[in-house]
Order: sequence, then C-alpha cells, then structure tokens
Amino acid sequence: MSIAKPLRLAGIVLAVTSLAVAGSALARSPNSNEPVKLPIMQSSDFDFIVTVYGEVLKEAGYRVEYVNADYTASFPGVKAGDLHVTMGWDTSPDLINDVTDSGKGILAGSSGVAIAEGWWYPVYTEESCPGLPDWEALKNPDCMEALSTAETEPMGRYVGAPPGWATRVTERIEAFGLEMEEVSSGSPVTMMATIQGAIQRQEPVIGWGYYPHWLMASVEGRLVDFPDFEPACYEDAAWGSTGDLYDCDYPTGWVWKLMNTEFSLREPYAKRILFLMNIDANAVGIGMDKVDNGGMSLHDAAHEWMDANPEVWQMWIK
Amino acid sequence: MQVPQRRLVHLAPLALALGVTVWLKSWEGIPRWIKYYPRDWKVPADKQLDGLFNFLAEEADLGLFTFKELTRGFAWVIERLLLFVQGVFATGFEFYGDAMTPWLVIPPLSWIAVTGLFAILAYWASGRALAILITVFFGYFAVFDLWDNAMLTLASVFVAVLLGMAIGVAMGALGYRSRLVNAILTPIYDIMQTTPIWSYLVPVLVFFGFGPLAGLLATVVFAMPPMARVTTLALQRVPANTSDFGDMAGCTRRQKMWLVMLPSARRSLLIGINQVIMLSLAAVIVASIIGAGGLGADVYRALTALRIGDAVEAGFAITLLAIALDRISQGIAMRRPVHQVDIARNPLRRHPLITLALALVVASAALGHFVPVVKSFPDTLTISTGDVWNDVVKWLNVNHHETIGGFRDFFIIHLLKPVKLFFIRLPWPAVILVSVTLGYALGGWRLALLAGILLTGIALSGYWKQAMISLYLATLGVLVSMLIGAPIGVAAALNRSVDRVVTVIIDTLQTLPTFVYLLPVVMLFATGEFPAFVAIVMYAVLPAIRYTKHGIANIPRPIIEATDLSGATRMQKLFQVQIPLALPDILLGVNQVLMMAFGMLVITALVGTRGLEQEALTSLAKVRPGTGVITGLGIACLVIVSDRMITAASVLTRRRLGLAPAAPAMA
Repeated sequence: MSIAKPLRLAGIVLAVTSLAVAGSALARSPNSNEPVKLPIMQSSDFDFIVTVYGEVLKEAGYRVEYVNADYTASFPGVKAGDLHVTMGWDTSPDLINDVTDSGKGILAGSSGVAIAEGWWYPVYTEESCPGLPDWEALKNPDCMEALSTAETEPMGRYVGAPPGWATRVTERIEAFGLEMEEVSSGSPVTMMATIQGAIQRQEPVIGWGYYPHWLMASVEGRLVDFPDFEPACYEDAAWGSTGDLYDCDYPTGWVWKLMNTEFSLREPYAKRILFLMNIDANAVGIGMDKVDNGGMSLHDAAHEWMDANPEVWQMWIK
Repeated sequence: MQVPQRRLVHLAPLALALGVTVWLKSWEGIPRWIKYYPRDWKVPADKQLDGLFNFLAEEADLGLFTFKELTRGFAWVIERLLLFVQGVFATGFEFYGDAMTPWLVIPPLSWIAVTGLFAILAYWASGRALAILITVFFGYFAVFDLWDNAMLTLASVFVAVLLGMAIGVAMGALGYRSRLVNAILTPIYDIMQTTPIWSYLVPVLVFFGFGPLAGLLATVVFAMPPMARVTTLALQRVPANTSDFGDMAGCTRRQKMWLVMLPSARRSLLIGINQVIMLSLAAVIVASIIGAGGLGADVYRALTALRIGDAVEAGFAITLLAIALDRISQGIAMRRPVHQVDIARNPLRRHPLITLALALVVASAALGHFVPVVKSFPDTLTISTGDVWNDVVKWLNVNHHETIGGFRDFFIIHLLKPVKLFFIRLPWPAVILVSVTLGYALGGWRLALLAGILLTGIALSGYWKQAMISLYLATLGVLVSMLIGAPIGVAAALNRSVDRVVTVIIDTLQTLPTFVYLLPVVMLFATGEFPAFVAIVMYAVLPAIRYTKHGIANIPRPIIEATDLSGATRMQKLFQVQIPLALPDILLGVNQVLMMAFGMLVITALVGTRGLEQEALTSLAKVRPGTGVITGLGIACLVIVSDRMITAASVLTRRRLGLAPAAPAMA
C-alpha cells in the first residue's frame, strides 16, 4: 500500500500535466482531418512555393491533397472553397482583387518572393532590333522580319506563355499596334525550350520571361520597356497614349498568398502558418532548377529546402 | 431530262455568289467592314454567359437552397460512386473517423487479382487467346510502373460507361416511344457530339468543382449520345411480331420494355456499349488533363515537361487499354446467350468462372498480408525505356533537324500558309452568301436557311477569324486525307492481300483514342499548326480508306460483269465504271473523314493550333464558361453545316446515278 499511494499520486500528476499540454496544443493543431486542398499548376515556381507550404502543413499534422489547376482557375477555386490556398502574382492584380473584394478569400501577406515579369529577350536581339529595350523599336519592320518564323511571317513571333497565365500579351500587341503574333506555349517547359533553342542558334527572339527563373539567371537578357504601370491602365481605356486597356508596362512586386475565408476561420493554425510563411526568391530559383533540369520531384525539392533550413520553417509552426 | 435542268437552275445563284466573292476579293476599295467583321458588331453573348454562369455558380438562390448547393449535392452523390470504384481498383479505402490517423485501411485489389479478373472476363467473353493477350497487357502496366494510373483511368471509364449506359438507354427508350421527343433529341445529340469537350469542361468545373468528377461528367456528356441513338434504332428494329407477342402476353408498358423489347435488342445494344466504352476512354484520357490523374495526365505532363520517353510509355499503355476494352466488349457483344439452366448442382459449381474469380480475390487479399509482392508489384522489377526514347528524340533533333525542319517549313510555306490566308481573307459576307447558295443547290431552302443562320451566328459571336482558321485546318485535312486514303482504298478493293493488311492496320488504329496521335507528331515536329495538320490526316485517313474500299466492293456484280464483257481495259473499268458508281459511298466517306478531322482538330488545340478549338481550350484555363460554350457551339455549327451539305451532295449523286437511297447507317 505504501508504494501504491505515491504511484496513484504520480498518475494524477501525469494526467493533469498531459491535459495541460493537450490544452496548450489545442491552438497548435488541426481542427479536422479534412485534407487541405492546394493547387499545382505545372509551373515549377508556383508549384515549389505551394509544395513547401503543403509539406510544412504535413509536419504540423495536416492532411494535404494537391489538385491540378490552372493559375487563373485557382482564383475562382479559392473563392468557391474547392481550393484552400493559392499564390497570386502582382502582374495580375485584377485576379487577386477579385478574390479579396468578394469577401470569400483573404490576403495572407507576401510570400517574400520578389518578382519581375515581362517581354524578355536575350541581349543580342538588340542587334536586329536597334533601340531596344524601348518598345518603339518593335515598330521597325526589319526587327519584325528578324523575329518572324515560317508560321508567323511576315509578322514577328512572340513566344507566349500558357494561355491560363493572364499575361495580356495579345492585348498589348493590339494596343500598341505591333505587327507581332503571340504563339502560346503548352507549358512553361516548352516555352523555355523554344526560347533556349533560339538562344542556342543565336536567333533573335522575344517572349514571356520572368524572374526568378534559372534561364533568365543564366543568359544575359532584358525586359522590354513600356510606359510605366499605373493601376488605371488596367481599368480605364482612356488612360495612356493608345485609347486601349493594357497600354503600359507590367507591375513589379511580390508573390502574394491567398486563402479561402471559410477555411481560414475553420483552421486558424493553418492560417497562421500561411501568414508566417516566407521564402526568398533565390530559394525558389534553386528549387525550380532542380525540378526543371534535375528531374527532381516537387516533393523532394521542397524537402531538400526544408532539410537545409529547419530553423526557418519550424518558426512557422511554433 | 428534268434533272440537269433543275441543277442548272440551282447552280445559277451559286455562280453568281462565287462571282460576287471574286469581285469582292479583287476590289481595291473594299470597305473594311466587309473585309473583317467589325469588332463593334460583336454580340457579347460570351461575356454575358460568363456572367450568367458565374452568377449561377456563386449567388443564385433557389429558395430552399442555392444553385451551388444543388450542383454540389449532385456532385457529392456521383463522387461517392466514383470514389468507391477508384477505391476498389486503385486507391483503397482509409477510414478516419475523428482521428488524424485512419483506424481502418483497406487496400485496393492487388495487381494479381485485377489481372486475373480481367483474364477470366476475357476468357468468358472470347476464349483463351484473348485471356493471354489481356494478361500480357496488364503485365505491361505493372512492369512499366503505370499500374496506379492505368487503374485510375479504368475506374473512371467504368463509372462513365455505367452512367452513360443508364442515361443513354433511358433517353433512347424515350426517343423510341415518342416521335416528337426523338425529333427534339436528335439535334441535341448532334450538338453534344460535335461540341469540343473543352466547352463542357468549363461549366462543369464551375458548377461541380475541381477534381476527378468534372472530367467524369464531361465524359458522360460526350459519350452518352451514341448509346441513346443505338437504343432508339435497336428498339425500332425489333420485329413487329416480337413486339406484338408482348402485347398478346398481356405485358404492362414497363414489362414489355424491360422483359421483351430490350432483351430482343440485346446484340445492337451491346454494340452501342462498345462505342460508349471507346468514346469514354478517349474522353477520360483528355479530361484527366484537368483535375484527376490517370494515363492521359501522365502523357500530357510528360509531353509538356519534354520527357518524351515517359510520354511514349504511358501513351502505349493507353493504346493497350483501348485494345483490351474494345476486344472484351466486342467479345461480349458477339457471344451467344446460353439459355440452358442447370439447376441440379450447387451454385459454386454451376458458375466455375465466378467461383474462380471470387477465390482469386480472397486468396490474393489474404496472401497480400504476408507476401508484399502479391499486394503491389515490386518497384525493383519495374523498368523504364524512357531514356531510349529521349535519346531517339535527341538524335533526331541533332542529326535530322535540318531535314525535318525543312520538310515542315516546306509544307507550311507552300500549303498551309497560302490556304490559311485564303480562308482568313475571304470577305465574311461572301462566305455566308456562297454557303447559302450552295446549300440551296444541294438541298433546297431548308439547307440554305440552316447554313445562313448558323454561319451568321458565328459572325455575330465575334469569332469569325478563329472559325475560319478551324475550317481551313479541317478542310485541308479532309482534302489530303482523301488524296492519300482514296487510292489505298481502291487498291484494297481490287487486291485481296492488300486488303488483308490494310484492314488489320485500320481496325487497330481506329480503336486508339485521338490523344495518342499527338505523341509521334509532337516528337517529330514540336508544336504548331503543322503537327496538328499531320495528326488530323493520320486520324481522318482511316475512314477515307474504309469507305472508298466499301464503295467499290459494293458495286453490284452484274454491272462489273457487263463491263468486263464489253471489253473494257482495267483502267477504263476503274475510272469509268467503278469509281463513278462508288461516288455516293465515297461521299459518305468524306463525311466521316470530316467528322474525324474535326474530332482530332479539337484535340490538337493542345499542340497549339489557333482556331475556335484553341479559344475553347483557353476558356478552360481562364475559367470563362460562356466563352467556352460559344466557341464550342461555333465548332458544332461548322460541323453541322458541312455534314448536311455533304450528305445532301451524296443523296444528289445517288439520285443522279439512279441508285436507291442509302440505308441509314447504325449510329
């Protein structure tokens, strides 16, 4: 009996402390085992950022399901609650605003990835199109001749992004009255392969380019200069010199994090993790290179980054 | 000589319309609004529909519940069915309850069990040869590490066929009962079958959400109409005395349909199911690109990531799956029903194959617990030929870039580009005028009216240029397919050993889903209109061969004998008797070629064409359901107008040759 009493006491103490631990863990744990749905759009920059978030969520105890969705389609997806999180590029402010204005999605801060996007060309293209990076150089017929292919001739070829990216290239071609034809690519990989092929043959080329990206980091190139961006340019046709919408440059800025409102209320812990998540453009560039050129899976690339930077992501789930 | 006169009367306006076109084209001071359809005249139906769809999907309230809740509720029900079948074949089941870890995990059927089940089914349907073939095919999925995705695709096809059959038979029976309903449904089926799958994917996505379900529902819409058509036709063909017997036996309406009519139409219905299966497979493959995984997603992702080797392996798996499903379902359709019932023995002995199947499932599930190889195919034994194919493509690009590129550019510069410019630069009012008069010449007022309304609709929608780009690729595809296919068809009709080889090849190629054809052309020619054009020709040449052969082989023997007796040379016989007499059949063939060309054109949007099909695909990426529907209907209009024109032309030539009208083809 003399042994049993302290044992029982120890038992009570243990039970109380474990209750206390459970109590403090309540706010730090998922509220349900419903999987968190995250979009994968087959573009390694977007996918890498999302996968890092998803894998960190798994470490925090969530079930995660990756769903294939186009970039543009992911925004109505977040509004409807079919997807719980997406990333918005500052180059498509209207898509981001549409989600936040509806009240069905919240902005969860910047991801920390600074971006620049636009009409990219390798520097030697300036020999065929003197005057670049100013856009007026593209009015020169000789420049268009140099950029043309059998399919687009006599117009110049623009190596376009996949259609779901909302790059508004054709709109700009029309607004500025350029003799160019946008040939859209099926995927970022085929787009970069087309640009890379032209670079290997030292042919002049202009296409959709963005930073961070391993190709744009390894080849010397520039973005075409258009009149400076102002929000009015995307909303008011009267703004600018042409009387059309989109007669300006692309906005630069950040990748923003968005979350479905209902989900954010149901899962404050996941919301907190998303708010805290911050990753630098350099890490994304390295991750993209590993996926696109090294044949690594997104899962492995994300975990490689997590293994190298445990102190960073462990802060998010604390 | 009444017929030629009538034709002259009809041809006069056509000549006039062509004259106007030439004049418009050569007129220097042609007003801009005639040359290009003005942007301001566009009826913004696409934008308005976008708004309507989004309103329905996000806000519409039906009183007790919202529209969104209604569609999502429906989706939930179908999704249970899909998840169940997927669970059985591919993913297994996990039961979570409230905990974070599942309390019960049931694995899917093991690869041995599925292979065995399909081999047994094949044995029952057709015999030992097919059973062995099926075992080899399924072995391929396991060895090349494509098992899970092959099973996902199989599960989607299974559910889509189930739904397609149920809806199709019900609609078909309705169409059989009421002539009016049939008259309303037939044009709806036409539109469902000719509208590109991209167009329904967008609204489905908006209403039913992301995930495997969207693709599944779009597949059902695409593959259901042939089942309905076959059901109506099959019921109409049930002999009158069988139907009367049902009445005499005192059947109620329902009893007569289920116990008399449908069983009598069994063979035709099973042929319909074969078609639904093949169409579903083709659609599931395409639909899996969005949302769910599966073999189609494998191929597409590998293609867009430029991993050609993986794409080839998964593409080959699609091919094997198509052949397997086709052979098994055909075997079942051809099987004679057994009416003998053996009551004496116990049920397990009476159905040895079912017993064997059950034993296999139970044994493999039990063994799987102890021997992991039974449960899932060991990773160490899987192989990949991916690198070989990547090397082939690299080698082609390094050593034959000039030749292949030169070949491609030659066709682009001398064929594709001029034809494209011709189509785009035709003044739009002239195209409508010529179509209307041509419709009048071929089929009278009704056809003229149809052509006028549908083409004007395309102009009003503001997608005229894209429609012309679609039309140019399809037309060029049809012409070149006929140029290649007709001589082969003639050769096959005249020479038995050529025939045997050709038949085997086209029978196999025709079972392949459209998507598979994209693989070789992308490997060789990358993306753009030329690879799209080649894919269209490869696919559309098959009916060109088949119908030409059919037309020549079907000429009545007495006519051939009379020709031989009159001392005609072989060439005279061919060009003056056989080909002219086969012309109506060949024209029907042209119609099939056209259908196939448009069917493939829709898929080639994935490799970067620029017509309506691309707008429809883009609308999917941009979530613009209205735009998707309008551009899809644009394609349907083009197909329907050309189809009716060619059919009318076939009827006209038939009448001129004094032949009996063609029997309506099954589906």
